[in-house]
Amino acid sequence: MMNMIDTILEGVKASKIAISDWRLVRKQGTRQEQYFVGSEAEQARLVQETRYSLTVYVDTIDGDKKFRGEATISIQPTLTADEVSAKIAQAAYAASKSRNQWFELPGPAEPKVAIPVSAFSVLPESQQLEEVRKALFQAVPESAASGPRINSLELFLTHEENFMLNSKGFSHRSEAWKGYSEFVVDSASPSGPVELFDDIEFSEPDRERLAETIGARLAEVRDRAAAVPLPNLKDIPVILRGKEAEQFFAWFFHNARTEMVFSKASSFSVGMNVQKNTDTDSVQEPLTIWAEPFLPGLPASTSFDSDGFPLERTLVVENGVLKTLIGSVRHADWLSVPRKGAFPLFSVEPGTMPLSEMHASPYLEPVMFSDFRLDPVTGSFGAEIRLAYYYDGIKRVPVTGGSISGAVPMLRNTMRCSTERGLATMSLCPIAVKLQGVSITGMTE
Amino acid sequence: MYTGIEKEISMPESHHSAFLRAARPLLKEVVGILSRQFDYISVLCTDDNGISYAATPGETRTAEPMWVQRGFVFRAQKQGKVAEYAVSNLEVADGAQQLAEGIAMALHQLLASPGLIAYPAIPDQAMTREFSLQPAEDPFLAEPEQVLSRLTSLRETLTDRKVIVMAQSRYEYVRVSRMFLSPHRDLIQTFPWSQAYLFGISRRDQLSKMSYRSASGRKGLELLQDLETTVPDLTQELHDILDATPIEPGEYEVILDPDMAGTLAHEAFGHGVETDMFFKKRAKATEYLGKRVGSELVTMYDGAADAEQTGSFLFDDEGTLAHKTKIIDHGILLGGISDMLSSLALNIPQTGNGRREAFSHKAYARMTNTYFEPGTATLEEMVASVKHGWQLSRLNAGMEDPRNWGIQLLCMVGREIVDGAYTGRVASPIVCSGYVPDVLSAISMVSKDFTLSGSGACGKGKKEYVKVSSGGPYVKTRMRLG
Repeated sequence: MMNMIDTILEGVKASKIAISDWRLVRKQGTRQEQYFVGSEAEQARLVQETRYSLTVYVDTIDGDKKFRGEATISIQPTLTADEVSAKIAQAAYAASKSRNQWFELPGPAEPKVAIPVSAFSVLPESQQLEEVRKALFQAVPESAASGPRINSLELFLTHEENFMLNSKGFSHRSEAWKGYSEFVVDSASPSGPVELFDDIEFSEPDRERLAETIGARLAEVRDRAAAVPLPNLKDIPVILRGKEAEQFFAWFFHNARTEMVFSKASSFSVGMNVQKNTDTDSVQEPLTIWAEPFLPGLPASTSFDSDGFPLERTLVVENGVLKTLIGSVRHADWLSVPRKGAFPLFSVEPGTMPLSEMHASPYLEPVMFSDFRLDPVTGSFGAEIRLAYYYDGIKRVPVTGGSISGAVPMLRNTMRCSTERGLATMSLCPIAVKLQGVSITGMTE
Repeated sequence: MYTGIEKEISMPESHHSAFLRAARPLLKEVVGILSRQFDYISVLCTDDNGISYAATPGETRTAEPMWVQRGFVFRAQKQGKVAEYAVSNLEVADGAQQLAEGIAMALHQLLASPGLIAYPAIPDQAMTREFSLQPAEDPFLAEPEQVLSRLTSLRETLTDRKVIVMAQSRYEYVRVSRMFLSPHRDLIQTFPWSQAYLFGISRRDQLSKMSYRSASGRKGLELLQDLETTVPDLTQELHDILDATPIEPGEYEVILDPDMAGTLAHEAFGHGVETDMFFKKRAKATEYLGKRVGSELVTMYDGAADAEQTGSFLFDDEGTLAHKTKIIDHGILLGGISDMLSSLALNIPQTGNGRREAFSHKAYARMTNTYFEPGTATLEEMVASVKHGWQLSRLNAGMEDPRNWGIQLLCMVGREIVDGAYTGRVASPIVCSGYVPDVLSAISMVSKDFTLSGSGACGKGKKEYVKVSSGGPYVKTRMRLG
């Protein structure tokens, strides 16, 4: 009996429309899940899932020009050989109707970076999720009956075995541990309970990082219980922290992607200073940004991108100047720039302002938003504040409500970055960015 | 209680997925065997197909939407405890007995997990239903070149390469096919939904602005016509927002378009009355049941029944038939929308809102089609009544705060109104926030229009996306803008 990969490749060969190239990815995963309400478990769940994704490329020639069309389909393990063939035929036909510029798929290559095996893999299966649960719950203070506590928590740990191959002879097997937790912490307040929501991604049973994340939110929810409405503030710097600071930096990283530049969604070009609006702007904190294939603890780490191109740490922005475009190889070819691949992660060099210095003069420091959104094209951002700290030069008070808004392009030359760095969801970057000129909407007239 | 379903369930069985039809006898046998070991057993089997087309500068592509899936989730209950085992593959050659043994072993092991909550018995009243709906223009039968050509034409028409520097268009079609089997329940449904988008970016020097139009419905390719009519309006809007000026932060009279108003309903009292939030004691709404939470003009519903949009279905992912639930009646909060387990734990009615992102995901209490009931005003009357405020449109995102009743809406276009007339001034983007009861109590006018939009997806926390729609009429209220 043929296995599914053989069946798919037979279907590719049998296609009436000649398939010029193909790329196939198999992901086989087992996901353990736990759902806690307080310390009780809502239900127990286990997921075992195999997925195949096939992209077919069909070339056409018009005069002396060569074109390449593509179509991607998913193939479920329960599809019959006839169903697989039918799907491939349909995909090949659709691909033959796209006439994009031609590009070459990456061929065989050795990885340029090794992704270490996760410590989860040496734990007994029964202990893998339990280690994470213990780390998260150990952050709850002993006096949880009256103080802040975990209201509810969801925990997922996926062990995924990936196999990617293509028609050029590329073949790579990898293993990934993808951990994720969403949690809600709450605390009593004179006007009723208050809560904060957060999440964390992880690839290692890093008890310290897990406990610190939830511990910080437990401390903050106590402050939310005591928070006062955000006053109307003008001309005061805003300090973005953690994941929101990461989104601010990510705008530069995303706009350096070949697909963004090719489509003109990004106005970046190699050699331009991406922190200036005009040539006469002075930049207070020139950024240096690296594209990273691997950051310890982050599950998106990978040695090859989705096209099968080997990733290698790459300097993207140096002292504010765009040095290299990163992103899909096809768009690199179409832009006639070197292929670097599509990176999942980035890092930003430490800034020059210690957090203590940022905190030395008045500021508004939001630490939890309803849903912070930063548009990757326009750089506009905004969100309602669930908890922030307002320092008026004398005292630091927790505040809640109201919102902030702004746009990266208007703030990029005056931004300041902390010397301290930390892991977020897709980067290692300064843990704080101080911005002058963010619009603040308070709760009082 | 459900409406609008019975009359629609007489389609021939051949309209359903061949995979589901072929799997049914074996799964019924497996369920029968498993029912001797557990107090309750069911299986949800999914076979959602789809196709997507995209046109971006210099490229066209065909692929599949993220919603495409095929798999099984078995749910068992024993001594009140509940476990689920989800798999993408079953070795059917093994036969029912051997399959059942493997599934039972996984479920028994899960049920032995420490600290599991014991729920009242999951009900399993006898019921057999089927529902099938076909699109007018089936995208699977369409000529790909023509679809890609229409999408390319849309984006090229929008792009003028001077001000509107980039545009892209996308069409997604999903044929949802789901079957739910338990010892006494045999349900199957097949229906389509489509969504289409046209995005544009306008640029002047280093300033970029973005806006979009979208269309959605229980339709096939005929949906694209809805999008093609929007190009002139979007073109004008992309020019207008380049001249947008920052809004002075403060509280204003606002007129929310149906999409924004629907999202206000969705975020304010959609998520806030999902009864798994009640169960976790995360919902402030539980303190307000039977009490006033909005003005007399506020009546709000959620329901997969009696609405034709992307949140509509015959039965949810736990085998409960769709309902239409009145959440707020003339400002008075009536109740919530439930998944199976929270309804059992809280001893409240099942409303058919137990939904999964996919067979491989847990079921939660989720919205379907959420909307305000229309009123009697016209948009013109609403604009004329504004002293100084903004008409807000082009929803970007919204977020709930079920415990503390904050509300966040992000919109991409605000048009200023002074003394009952548009001034021509535009703001973009705008953060709208407020305290939910204040915003709903301040609703002073509701238009007679009614539009549902289902081109987005709703997450629970930061994941678990399901297709929903929201909308209703234009609504006038007060919010903080920044």
